[in-house]
Amino acid sequence: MDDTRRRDVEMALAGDPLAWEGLVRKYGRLVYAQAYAVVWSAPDAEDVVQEAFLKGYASRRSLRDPGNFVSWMLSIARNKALDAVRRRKPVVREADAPEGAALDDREGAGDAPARPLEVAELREKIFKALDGLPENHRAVVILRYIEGLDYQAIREMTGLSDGALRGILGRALGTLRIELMPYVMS
Amino acid sequence: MDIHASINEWLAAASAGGLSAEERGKFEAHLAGCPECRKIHEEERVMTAAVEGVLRPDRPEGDFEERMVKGFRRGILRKGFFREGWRKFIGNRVVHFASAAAALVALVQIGGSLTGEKSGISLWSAPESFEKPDRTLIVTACEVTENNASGGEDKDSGEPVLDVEKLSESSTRGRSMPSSQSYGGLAAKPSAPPPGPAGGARLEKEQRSADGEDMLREADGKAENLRRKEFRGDGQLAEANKADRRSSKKAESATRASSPVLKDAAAAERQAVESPKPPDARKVIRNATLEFEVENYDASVERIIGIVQEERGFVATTNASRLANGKVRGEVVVKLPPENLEKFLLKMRALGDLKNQALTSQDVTKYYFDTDSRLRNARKMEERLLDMLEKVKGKVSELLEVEKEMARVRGEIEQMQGEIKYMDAMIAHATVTIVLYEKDMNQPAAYLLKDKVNLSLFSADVEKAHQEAKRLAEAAKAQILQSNLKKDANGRITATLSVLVEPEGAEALISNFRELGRESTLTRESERVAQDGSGSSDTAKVKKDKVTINLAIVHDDEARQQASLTVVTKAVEEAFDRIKKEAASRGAEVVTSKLDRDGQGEAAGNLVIRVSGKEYPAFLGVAKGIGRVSEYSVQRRDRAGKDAEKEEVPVLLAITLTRNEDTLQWSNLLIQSDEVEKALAEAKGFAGQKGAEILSSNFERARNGQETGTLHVRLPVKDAETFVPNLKGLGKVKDYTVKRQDRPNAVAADDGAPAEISLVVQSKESLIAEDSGFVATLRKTISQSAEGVMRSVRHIVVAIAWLGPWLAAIALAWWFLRRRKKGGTTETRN
Repeated sequence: MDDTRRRDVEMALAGDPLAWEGLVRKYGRLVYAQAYAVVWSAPDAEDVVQEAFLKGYASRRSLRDPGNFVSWMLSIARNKALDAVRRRKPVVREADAPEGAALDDREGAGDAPARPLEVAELREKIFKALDGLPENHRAVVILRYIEGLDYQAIREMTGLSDGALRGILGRALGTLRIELMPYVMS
Repeated sequence: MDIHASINEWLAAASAGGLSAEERGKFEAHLAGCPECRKIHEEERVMTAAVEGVLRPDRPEGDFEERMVKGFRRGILRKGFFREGWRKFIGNRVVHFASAAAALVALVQIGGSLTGEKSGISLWSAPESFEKPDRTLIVTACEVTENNASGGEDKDSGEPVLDVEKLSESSTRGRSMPSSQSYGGLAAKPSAPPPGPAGGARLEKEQRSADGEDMLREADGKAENLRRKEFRGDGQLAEANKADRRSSKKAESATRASSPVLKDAAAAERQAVESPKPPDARKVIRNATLEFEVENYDASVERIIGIVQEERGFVATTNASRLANGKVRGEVVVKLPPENLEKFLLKMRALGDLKNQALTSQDVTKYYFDTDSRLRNARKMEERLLDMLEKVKGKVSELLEVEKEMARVRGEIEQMQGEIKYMDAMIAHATVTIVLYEKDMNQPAAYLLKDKVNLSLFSADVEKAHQEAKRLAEAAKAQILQSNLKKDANGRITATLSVLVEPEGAEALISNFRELGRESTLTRESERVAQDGSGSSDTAKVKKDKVTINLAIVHDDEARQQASLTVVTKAVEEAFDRIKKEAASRGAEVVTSKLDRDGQGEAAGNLVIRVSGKEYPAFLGVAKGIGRVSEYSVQRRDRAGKDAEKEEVPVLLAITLTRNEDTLQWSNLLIQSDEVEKALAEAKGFAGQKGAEILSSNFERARNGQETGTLHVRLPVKDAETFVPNLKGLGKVKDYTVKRQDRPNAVAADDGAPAEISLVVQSKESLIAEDSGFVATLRKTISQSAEGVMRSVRHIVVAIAWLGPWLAAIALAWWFLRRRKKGGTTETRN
């Protein structure tokens, strides 16, 4: 983390709400991506983002190293996202649940009316494919494909190096190609 | 770099716009030449478009950031307000301080209570328990008698009345009021209280019912008439009695009528008071004793009989005895119904001079009923035992036991029965013991007058006078008790004669005796002895007993004057010799002379000189001039004989010569000075100047730095008067007292007598005193405070020690929980 960023984070950690707002702006989408990667629903993901940032603010003192801010924040978001998933259906045995249920599970409350079957099916397939990715990669992929951020923005947000990002995206592309091509081409 | 090998990456980067211009060139160049990669590229393009398209709805809107920030702000406000304020509060120094202080206090309290000591800040103070004295009203609803002496305060205020009251009154003649009845609000028995004069008034005062008052006033008026009649004398007594009876009956009915009202009042009052028994059931034993001085015993007894019979009583016992002077003293015991007691006593007033009266009212109700119930129980027990006896079969031992018990119970029963009988008897009748004695009982029957005469004479011929005296006594038919003729070592003769002569002849004999010589002294004594009695009596006879005459005859020569002189001189021995010489030159006789030396080497001389009357004044002058006259007195001045000249009477002079003299005056002087030693030295100097005798001197310095010097001197009083001012000038006079001794026979204006002066010179008290003063107080205060702090610290430590484990446990648990929580959250790393 470079110095300016560090300074911002430090100020925010000191309790300055304005600074914290800056962080919200900067990392909001990333947190969203992380949340989305778990909840697979836009509204829920947004709620999680809010909760995550508030929680982060509330327990900002527990972060000792400002350099770890992003990963710390993302872990908070992940926890909150998992809480959200648990809240939806407390007892979910995904192993037993048929595919139909999984579908329902994934769709959050307050979604738009049912889409055309193709699209819904495809969504499912995409989610499944993305689920197959390593955890760390999912947020990045989401940033790319769902949030539509370009290469540079992703690099900034995630702080990943050029090579690392290319590697992640490349691998993701490869997986997606294998998983989704049959459906897409049809 | 190998594009083909890492085509996915190149494609992904390219698709995301992450290739540099140079890299794009390379990439496109490769694509142009590689159909396989071209195919993949196409796939990728389609797929990306599909995914993006499908997931487009889930893309956060453009204002995503703003919304997030807004939401954040909202969230902050909700929580933050609380939190920030809380944080600020926590962070506040004052709060820290205050909470620390509070914590300390709490710790002190805890520690204090744990150690059982008082920690000084007592938050809980045990309320003092007041113990109000129990005021249980014990009401006796019987008549309560009281008299003037004890006053009516009991009744007026409704104060508790004791079970046993003993009221006694000693009264003076005439105005006596044996008892005044008052019923207050506690009237019980419907018996009439005859409203005696004062009693009626009191009764009036205390009646609570209007009706009763009216009727009683009427009865009272009648009683007034009665009283007037009574005092007119015995003759009227019968009439008075009759009237009394009439009026008393009226009064009776009056009070009877009013007594229900009284009763109501009483009942009303009793509401507020515990009344354990109904009024009529109270058992009271009433007794009275009276003591009268009467004119005639028998007449009085008869009157008593009459009165007691009127009151439906009877005479239980009488006994009397007659004294030597004919006076009679006796006792009459009467018994009568208790309710008539007051009336009886009233009537008795007229009997004579009431010297003493005592009334007792003993409430034995409780005891009576207790005994009664015990008696009943005992009887029941007896019955039960009887039953048991009948049931017991065969066992002899059991039978014996029962028999034994029965015997015991029977004994108890009989004893209790006896008690109850006795009490019944006592209750049924009030007992009045009347003691009578006739007036002037103690008068002596007669008086005996005993005269004694002492006569001493001077005679030229003692023997002859003595013989003559004896003859005279015989002639007067006197009884010679004693006759004596003595000759002492110096040849002086003394004669004494004691005779007992009839009163008629006494005077004659005395005058005859007086003729025998020159009278020295004549004294008479008279004694009146009462016989069979004491005190004075107007009627007792006076008898003259025989007269005793004591006659003493001494030789003319014995006539003398006698004087004593005390002279103080330093040169005792010189004075001694001088007097002797003087006596010799004047032809005086030195009867005795003694020169002593006491233990301390002080000389003292004693001389007795007989000097003729003529020479005496001159001689006395010389003697007085030898030193300082301390005392001079004349003991005897015998009259010169008829024939002799005054000057011829010799004088016997006792002279005491001494060095010492008792101090006449003591002075104490306390002076404050800063230079004690100097002052002391000066004082000594003054003493030397005045020729004062220094008895002692002393100087010391105390621990606190105070110096004290003392000086004790003796000097003549007149010198002391000028000496003291000098001493006073040595410093600041703090105290000065003078004491003078009273000396009889001292010569007036005794300026030469010694005076002792005690001088004490002191320096000021040291500023830094040992036990008091500012520094000491400060020290004490500090030490006390330090003690208090130590105590508090001790408390705190104790409290912490006590709380310690708890806090440790809590901390441990918290830490433990935290750890668990921490373990649960994994950090996501990108």
